Amino acid sequence: MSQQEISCGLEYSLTPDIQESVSEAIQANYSFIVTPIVHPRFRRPLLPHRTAVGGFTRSDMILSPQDWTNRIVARISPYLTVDAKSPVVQQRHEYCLTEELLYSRGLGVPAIMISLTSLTNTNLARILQTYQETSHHSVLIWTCVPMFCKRTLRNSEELQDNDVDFAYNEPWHWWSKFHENMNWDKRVGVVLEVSADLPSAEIIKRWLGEPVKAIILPTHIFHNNKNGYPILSKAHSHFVISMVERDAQVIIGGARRSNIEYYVKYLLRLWQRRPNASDPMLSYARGWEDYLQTPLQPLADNLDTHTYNVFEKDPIKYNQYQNAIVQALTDLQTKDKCEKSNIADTTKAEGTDENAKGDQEDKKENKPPYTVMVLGAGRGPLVRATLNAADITNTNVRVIAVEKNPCAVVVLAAQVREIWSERDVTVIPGDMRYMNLSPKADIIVSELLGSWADNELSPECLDGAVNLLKPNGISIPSEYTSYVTPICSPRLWAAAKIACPGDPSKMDKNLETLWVVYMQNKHDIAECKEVFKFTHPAEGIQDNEGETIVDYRGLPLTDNRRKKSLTWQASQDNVIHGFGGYFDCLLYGNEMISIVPSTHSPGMISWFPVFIPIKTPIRVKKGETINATFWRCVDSRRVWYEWIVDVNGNTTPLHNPNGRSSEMLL
Amino acid sequence: MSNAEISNKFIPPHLNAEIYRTETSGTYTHSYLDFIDVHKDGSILVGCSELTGRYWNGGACIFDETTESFFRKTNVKCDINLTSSTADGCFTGDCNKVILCEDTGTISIWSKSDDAWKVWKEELSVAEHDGPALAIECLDLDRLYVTAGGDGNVKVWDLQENMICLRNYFGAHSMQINSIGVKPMSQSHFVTGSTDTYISLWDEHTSKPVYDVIENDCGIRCLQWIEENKIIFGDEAGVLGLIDLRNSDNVVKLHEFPASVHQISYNPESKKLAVCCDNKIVTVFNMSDEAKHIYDSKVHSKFVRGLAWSKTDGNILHSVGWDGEVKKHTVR
Repeated sequence: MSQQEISCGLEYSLTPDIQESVSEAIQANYSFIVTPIVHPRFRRPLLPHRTAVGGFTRSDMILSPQDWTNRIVARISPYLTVDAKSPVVQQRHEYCLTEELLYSRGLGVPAIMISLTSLTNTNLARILQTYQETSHHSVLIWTCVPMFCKRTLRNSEELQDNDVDFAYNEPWHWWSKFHENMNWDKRVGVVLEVSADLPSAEIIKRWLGEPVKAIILPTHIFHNNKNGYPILSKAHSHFVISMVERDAQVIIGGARRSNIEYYVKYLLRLWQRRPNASDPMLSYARGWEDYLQTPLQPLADNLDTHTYNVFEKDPIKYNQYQNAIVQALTDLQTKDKCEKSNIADTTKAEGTDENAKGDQEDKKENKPPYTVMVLGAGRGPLVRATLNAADITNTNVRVIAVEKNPCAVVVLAAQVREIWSERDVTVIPGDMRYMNLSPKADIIVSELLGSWADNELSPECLDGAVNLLKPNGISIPSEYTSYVTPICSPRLWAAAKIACPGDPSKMDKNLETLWVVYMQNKHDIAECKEVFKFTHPAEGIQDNEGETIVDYRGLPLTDNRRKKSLTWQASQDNVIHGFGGYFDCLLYGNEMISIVPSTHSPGMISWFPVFIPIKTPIRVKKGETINATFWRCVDSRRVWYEWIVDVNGNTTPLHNPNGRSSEMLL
Repeated sequence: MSNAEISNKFIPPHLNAEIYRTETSGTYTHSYLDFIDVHKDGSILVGCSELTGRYWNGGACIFDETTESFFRKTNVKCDINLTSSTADGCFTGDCNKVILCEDTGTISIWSKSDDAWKVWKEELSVAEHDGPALAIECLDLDRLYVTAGGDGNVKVWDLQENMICLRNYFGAHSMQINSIGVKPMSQSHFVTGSTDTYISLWDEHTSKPVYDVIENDCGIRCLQWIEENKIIFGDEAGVLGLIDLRNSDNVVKLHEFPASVHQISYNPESKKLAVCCDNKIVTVFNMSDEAKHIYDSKVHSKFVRGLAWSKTDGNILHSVGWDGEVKKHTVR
């Protein structure tokens, strides 16, 4: 979950006096320091099953236990190369690495920092996995990579390539491959050493999708302002803010080119003045970033009053609904007027003056009211919206609020008695799918959408309720569509995988389930594409004779099964961990609500997107095609999704066959 | 003794840790000798550090070759005290002026006062390396000096201009740089060896590397440019290798040690090459005789770290080690 404050650390290449270093850093408002815990030049003859004589480093008693567990990130000796080509070096360094790791465990430091300098880190990953396996409390492993690999650039200088993106690409591969070797472990994060020049926006975005625990800002990338204080370039400060928004801490490293206090002061100010500090969605979602939730099933379970309370607070959604109802009432009026004037045409002889007068009058008084049914009225926000819309359009409405949740019915009934006693509002308890009311509705209004449009079974409910609507009546919403974007997000994937700890049988299920989550730490590999579309009132399916099939109640039989295959081209090397799922919805006329990132209704907070994981993340090369197929399956008592992904012949198994891991009950 | 007396006199056992933490008497020794440099007038510079104690600081001792035998771990009194440990350092042309590399990245210049006190004072220091400064070599006596460090950067300094940084080879290597070797008789060309396994060639006149000499199968620990076209290096695996720049694809393996090679020192006059590893042995090869193994010494009781040949007698080799001893070897 995201912090509201920026947290800064100070890196020491050596702490000659560690007490002094800690207090110096704390006094300058840093929260922690990064330091070697064994002198980085202290080579020792280490052999298996033989401990070195004497101490190999300073006594830990020099700091209080609290300092060790809160203030110190242990930097592993930088000369250790357990993936050197030379096997003898691998072996020797493995002993030393293990010794430093075990010593760090003994100290209880919260994180260990280790650098990657090439693509080959299999031995390191193996040693660290053993280490994690044998740790009782979890130590974070911070994997440090540069943003830019000068060596890659130098090795390919003969190519005369002006595009240096590949030199920025390389370290991402080191990290991503290493993280894959670590089985995308949640306790393993990346620390990015920021370079003086920043890469293309695309590469930055990909880093934003990685679990970046910290960024190192070497002092040489700062420059001095006219008063002599260190500041960052605009591009760098944007980058820092977007990283901190995704939970990264900031580490100041390198030579002390200015007073170390100035760096923290600058960063604190930068964070306070960040541009979208007041974005309603961000402030609403604070604390929920990348936090996975099981989707609600309002049809199968009744919502509690607190949930209603949260969702009613959306200032935008209900306003859009109100606008849509206004639009619908206006259209009904216009239509009626046309019909009326047709009749008037035939009786023109009786005098136009009188007619015009009467027209104005019966607008409110004489005309029969329009029947608006609110299906799934909850605690009544849509009833309120309907009444407002009637007032705005100066129309007479009869509101029928249908609600299956007994608790919400109590609230509705009370409002009818106490607040809406002057209005024509009726509450009918029960399930909209099995009701027969008359008169039929001119308009049915419902809010049954989930984060992925139809995933709270809006199609099934509204098809069942079509019986309540007049022929040619209006359904609000009239159309909705789900969308997906392939995403790279080791963090979400790892979080989904272990969402139910202690139950290994759940592990598989977790990756065959949709998760509602305010996704922050992810990267979109390609653009958003449409998946399933539903329109209301829905058309019935036809038999072989071309006749619409009807069910036992005479309602058109609809088919809400869907299948959609999609393809994307990867614009850079990446790893797909699943999909971000979104929806948009045409309420009526031009009134839309959307949580698709490119068209997101500003300020609308009711829906977080869904994360649709895949069981095994797949590596994607630039230019390769990602194929994905999604199914919406239906049987007599439930609905579920299945999906499969293929990249260049690497295919995932079919996810959630027969709804074995996740389903929505009818 | 009464209870009051006891509590005044003894530290309660349960306050053991607190007492240790607040201990400030500052009794520390710099028993790890890391490098040695010999001046042509016979002065010796020895760098010492504390690597495992409470404070990781260090210092340097400067004394005359003739008093070397008096140097004992027990009576070391540093002429120069540093707030950080030190990995390398050298005399300038004047034996009363030295340059020291500190593990915090600072490079400092010290000189001996001309007055009766003869104390060493810091003239100036520059803190521009982003990691420890690990190696220093002289390009042009009393003028150009090259340093390299844990940050992978190589810097060329002008001593005459108050250590202005003339060149900064930023990201010269992707890992720490352990050693610099200056081309004999050249004032501009040098090579660097790094844990990133590369040996790279540089020309102080140009901002880019000239080329990569070799890519090894493990980190380069030390190297020396011994002749126009010949470079000797020692690596993490314990291999002592000879590179002929005219045919750098063929590295000649001179010897394989059972431990990582830490330091080499070549005497161009006697053509003898002294080597020390991550062990207690000093080894000498005769390079004029097909790198024949001619000398072994186990006088040090801990790792040998620094080697330097006497400038006056080509058969005299000085060595220092983590046992805190300076040893003199006569190699015939």
